[in-house]
Formats: sequence, structure tokens, C-alpha cells
Amino acid sequence: MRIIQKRLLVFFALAAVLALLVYDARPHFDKDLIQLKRENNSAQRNWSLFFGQRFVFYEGPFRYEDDMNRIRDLIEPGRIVLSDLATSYYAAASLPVYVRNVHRHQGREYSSSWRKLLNRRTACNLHQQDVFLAFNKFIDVEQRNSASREQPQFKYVLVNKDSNNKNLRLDCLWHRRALLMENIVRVSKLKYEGEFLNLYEINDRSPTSASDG
Amino acid sequence: MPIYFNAVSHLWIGCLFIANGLMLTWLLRSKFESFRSFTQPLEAQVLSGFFISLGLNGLILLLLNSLSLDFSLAKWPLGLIGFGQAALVYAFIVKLNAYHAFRFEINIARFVLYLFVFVVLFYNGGLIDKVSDSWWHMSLANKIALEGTYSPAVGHLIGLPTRYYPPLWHGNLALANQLSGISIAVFWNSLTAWVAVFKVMAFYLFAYGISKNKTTGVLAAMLFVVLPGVGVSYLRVSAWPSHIAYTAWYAMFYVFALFLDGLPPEKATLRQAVSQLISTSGSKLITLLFLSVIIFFTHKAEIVWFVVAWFSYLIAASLSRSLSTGSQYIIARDHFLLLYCYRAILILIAIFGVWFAVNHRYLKTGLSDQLLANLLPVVLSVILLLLDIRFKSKMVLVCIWLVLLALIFGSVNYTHLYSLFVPEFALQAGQFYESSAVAIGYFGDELKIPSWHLQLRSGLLYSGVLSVIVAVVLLIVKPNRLSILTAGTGCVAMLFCASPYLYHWLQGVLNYHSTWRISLMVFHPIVWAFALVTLNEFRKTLADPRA
Repeated sequence: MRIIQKRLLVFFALAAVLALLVYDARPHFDKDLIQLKRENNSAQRNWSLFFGQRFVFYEGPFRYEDDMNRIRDLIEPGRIVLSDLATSYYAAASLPVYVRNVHRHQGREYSSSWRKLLNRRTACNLHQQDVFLAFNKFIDVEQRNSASREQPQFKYVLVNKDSNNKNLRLDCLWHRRALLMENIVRVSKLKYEGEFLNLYEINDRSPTSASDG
Repeated sequence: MPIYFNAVSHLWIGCLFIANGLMLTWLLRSKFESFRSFTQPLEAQVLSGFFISLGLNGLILLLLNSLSLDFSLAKWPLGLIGFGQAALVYAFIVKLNAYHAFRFEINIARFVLYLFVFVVLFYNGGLIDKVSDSWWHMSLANKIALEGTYSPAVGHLIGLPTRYYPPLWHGNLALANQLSGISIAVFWNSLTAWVAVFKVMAFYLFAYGISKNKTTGVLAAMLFVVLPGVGVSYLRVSAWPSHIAYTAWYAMFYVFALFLDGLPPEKATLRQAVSQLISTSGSKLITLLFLSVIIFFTHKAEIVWFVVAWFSYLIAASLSRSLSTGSQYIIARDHFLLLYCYRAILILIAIFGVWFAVNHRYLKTGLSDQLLANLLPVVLSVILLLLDIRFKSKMVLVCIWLVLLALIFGSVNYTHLYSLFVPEFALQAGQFYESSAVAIGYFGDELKIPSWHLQLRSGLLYSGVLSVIVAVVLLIVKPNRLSILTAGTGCVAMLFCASPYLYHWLQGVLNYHSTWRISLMVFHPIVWAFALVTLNEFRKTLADPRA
């Protein structure tokens, strides 16, 4: 009798352990979880049977490689590029440039002038005259300061025109890219126009040009 | 979408991150019997090849860096080494029929598991579909590649001086980029599948090394793949430097477990025992040192977790010894060398704890939670030391145990512990995502404690946190190296995550923002694998009592 009781006990213990393990393993086999995570902008860190390379391909920088390769030959190394959050990281990982539109814990807070510019979304509203003048002044001050402090100079604006990459939607610089492209040429010239990326080079500044626009 | 858009990068990975290291592994196996003995599993040879390649590439880049030469020149020394080694393999192995150097051990279950992981992760890709910290790492690799130096002049991402990050993995990525012309992002994506397999292989070795049982090892590796865990189980994140370090960390557990197998007989004196251990386990010691160097230049923290894990093992061994009623001798628990090490470490912690408290002027602050946090590890060390001494009086033993339990349970914040299961009760979180939460101590002071949202809740619920209880039960029912290690590490990890006093002290000592990663020491896949094997053995015994 005791043996039967023990057998039952072992059977239930085994069943309980297996049930727990199966319960905890579910996320890898849950198709809906992928959609839920994507809707909440949550990273898919665990592997999943239903997560395909298409997400990586369309929401990563792979399709911009041709543009990046062309841009690499056109830019002056060691300069600062302004772009939307995601493209800033893509640029930093493949071009010889620096970016300032990054997450807070990775240095966004380091420069107060850049922090103000990005937090106030100045570059997203260049169609407003007062904002444009503020942006123009920012370029002057930033170029002067970077020269005196021997820090990288703000020289380029990179506009990403892709509409399939969800990461770009994190930033107003992408949402208002049409307005940005229309107005940025007032202080820069179009250096490269690619399938996905446009590169603008900030015009050379002289003391008198600060009040232009 | 071209699914094989990164296929060429896989060939480069094979050449740059495995080939040279694997050939050196074969040469070492042909010459050194001791090295051959612990690199018999296929996993050990593959990992050896990977880490030797990383180290070799890193060394060549260091040489080029110090000579201010372009990193793309690395193709010459790497090519020479590759051809040189191929010639040596032909001369010393093929020509001399020393084919035992090529032999390896694998079974179908493991092979299928690794194939499954590779295919799934190839299909899933790396975590670059989100704007995450992976881009910070790729930015660093890009600047290393462009400037041809381990320490870019003006930082990397934002163009301002930044904190030092161990550059070995970034240097290897930079090298791959420079030699192949393939972008770092493509390599990052492709490497995810490879390193995910390496990590699972290392975990198998770890589980097999401490259990000496292939079934336990395979089950643990399978559970590692399917169960949630803290950070390390995120296979889509495998190309991050921390995961390279985790892989080396697990490999170190395997080698160290085999090192412990070489413990000399009890009769030897201390000097004889140490010299015998060094002479018989020299290759294991060198391997441990090499893996430590790889970790040090990749992510660093895992060296600390390795030491803490084996210290936790010694604590569990000592406590289980003090409670054991029988006189059974368990070599992995009762060997005199382990006893010496344990006592020495406890004394060192007590001395260091007092020095740290004095140095940070906590003793002058009067009675405060900061002072308690700094004195608690010292007092615990003294109590553990007392418990390690075998008292004849049971009364004294019981009293010391009661003091230990009172201190441990008194230091835990129960609201915080409860909030692991019920997030609404969570303590106030820090300003940044990775910041610690704040707990109020007995004297009203603020103490740091890891917020459960930092991958901990998703990693520990439920198999993780329940495994700690199961591990303690297994230690009581079946005391052996595996149960001692998993119970010790699980309890210590959970205690540090639940006790603001201990966590505050550890974070202060390590000065590391991710001290919560101590929870990596909850090795729940191994615990559940061992539990399943033990239950199955028990079931068989009941079915056939004569067995």
C-alpha cells in the first residue's frame, strides 16, 4: 500500500514539475505575444518560433547599406550628424560620424544645448519662423563652441525617408520629415539623395550669415 | 526579403572566430593528454576554438594598435597563423596518424538541440529590430574599425569622452568588418545564431561538469533554451559582449568542476595536496586563467560572479555539513582543502568589510542603516566561521543557527519580496531604467535594492524562484556537488535581491550599476533537470525495489 502511495506521490511530483516547465516555456510558442510586444514597443529578446527575419530586415538598417556606403565617401569624418533617434544609431554604427540624438543614458543629457534642441523638438518645427531662427542661432553657437572646445562640429543632417521601419516612428524628425526637408535647405545644401536617406551639409558660416533666414 | 542576405558573413565567422582556434585546440589535444581529457566533448572543442580565436584576434589587434598600424593589416598575421597551423596539423596529426586529436564525443539529442537553436536563431535574427543598447556596442566597434585603435580618441557615439568598456569583443567585430567589408550590423545579426549555440553548449558542459551525468546535462541545456531566465537566456541578445562573457563563465564552471575532481586524497598534507593539484591539473588552471582573461577584456563582471558562485558553494557545503547528522564523507563537501579555502575567504571578507566601513567613514556616522549594511557581511562572516567549527554542544550550534537565521530574515524587505509576485506593491523605482529601487531601513535611511522590473520578474517567475526551494530540498535529500552548488548560489542570489542591507553593501563594494545580475546565479535549468532525473530514478526504484 505504501509503495502505491509513494508511486502516486512521485507521479504527481513529476507531473507538477513538467506542468510548471511547460507553463514557463509558453512564450516561445505564442504567436500573439509577438504582436502584443510590437504594439507596446517592447523588445523581443527571447527566441520565438514565429518571429521571422523579416522584422529584422525591415526594422533594421540593412536596406540603407547602399545609401550609407555612398554617404561614407561624401562626408568629412569626425563630424556630428543630426537625425532621428533610430537613424542616429544606424549612422553611428556604420559611418565615421558622431550623433547627439541618443537615449538619455547614452549621453543625450551631456550637452545642454543639444538636450534643449532635441527635447523642445526644435528641428521638427522649422516651418515656424521663430523656431527656425532659434535653430539657426543654435547652429552658430554650436559651431563656435565646438571650435573653441575642440569638439566635433555639427555639420550634417540625415533624413530617413523609409516608411516600413517602425523604429523611425519614435521621433518627430521622421514624422515631419517632409517639413524638415523643405526647410533644412535654407541652412544647408542637399549633398546626397538616396533611396532611403538624404544627406544635407550645413552651410559654411560667416559672422554675417547668422541672421539669415 | 532575401532570407540569406547575410549568408556570406557566416563563412567569415567560421574563418575568423573558429578556424584558427580549432586548429590550435587540435594541436594541443595531440600533445597534451590532460588537455585532451577535458576537451573530449564536441562542445569543449568548439568553445575552445571560439575563445582561442577571439584571444588570438585580440592579441594581433593589440600588436597593430601598439604599432599604430591599420587593423586591416591583420589579414597577414592571421593568414600566416592559419596556414602555419594547417601545416602543423598535417605534420603532427595527419602524418603521424594521431587522429585521437580530432575525435570528439556527441550524442544525437545534443546535436539536434544545437541545430534547432541555430536554425531558430538564424530565422529570428539578433535584437537589432529595436533601438537598444546593441547600437551603442556597434557604434564602439565601428569607431574601433575606423580609427584602428582599441581606444578611439573622442569616445564613439556622441563624440565626447566616454566610460571605458572592455574592447575585446568590439575589436573582433571591428576586425571582421575591416577584413570582409561586411557591415557590423550584419555580423551582429549573424553572430546571434552562433553565440546562442555556443552559450547552450557551454551550459551543457557546465551542467555535465558538475553532475557527471549526460542526461542531466542534456536536460539542463534543453531547459536553458526553453525556460525564461535573467538576461542570459535571451538568445536573441547573444551577440552582446555580456553574452560572450556568460559563455566563458559557464565554460569556467565546467573546467573548475573537473579541477575539483582532481582533489588529492585526504591523507596528504596541505603542501603535498596543493603541489599535487597543480601538477595534475595544470592545463585546467591555465584554461581557467585564459577564460578569466577573455572575460576580463569582454565584460569583466562574470569573474566576480564566478568567485561569488563558488563561495556560495562553500557556504552551502559548510552549512549542510553543520546540519548533517550522519558521518558520511562527501569529497565535494568535506575535503580539507575546501575547508581551508572557505575559512580563509571568510576571514578576508571580515577584514575587508571592516576596512571598507572604516574607509568610507561609516563607523563615524553613528547608528544608521548604512552602518548596519556595512557591518552585516562582517558579522555574517564571523557567524559562518563559527558554524564551520564543529561544536560538541548542540545547544551552542542551535544558538548560532538561530542568530544566523534572525540576521538573514531580519535583513529582508518583505514588501519588496512580496512585490516580486504582486507588482502593485513595488518599492519606489529609480530615475533611470537600470537604477535600483529604494527601500527604507530600520533607522529610516534609504538603501538600494534591485527593482524586480529589471528582467528579474520575467526571469524568476515561476521556475526560477521555485527552483531555489527545490534546490534546498535536493541538497537535503541528495547532497552532492550539483545540489550544493545550485542551493548555495540560488539562496545567496535571492538573499541579495531581497535584502536591501546586503544589496546596498554589494553595490557599494562593486561600484557596478547592474549588481542585480547576481541573480544570474539562480541556475534553475540545472535544478529542474536534476529534480527530473532524481524523481525518475526514484520512480524506477519504486517500480523495481531490487534495482
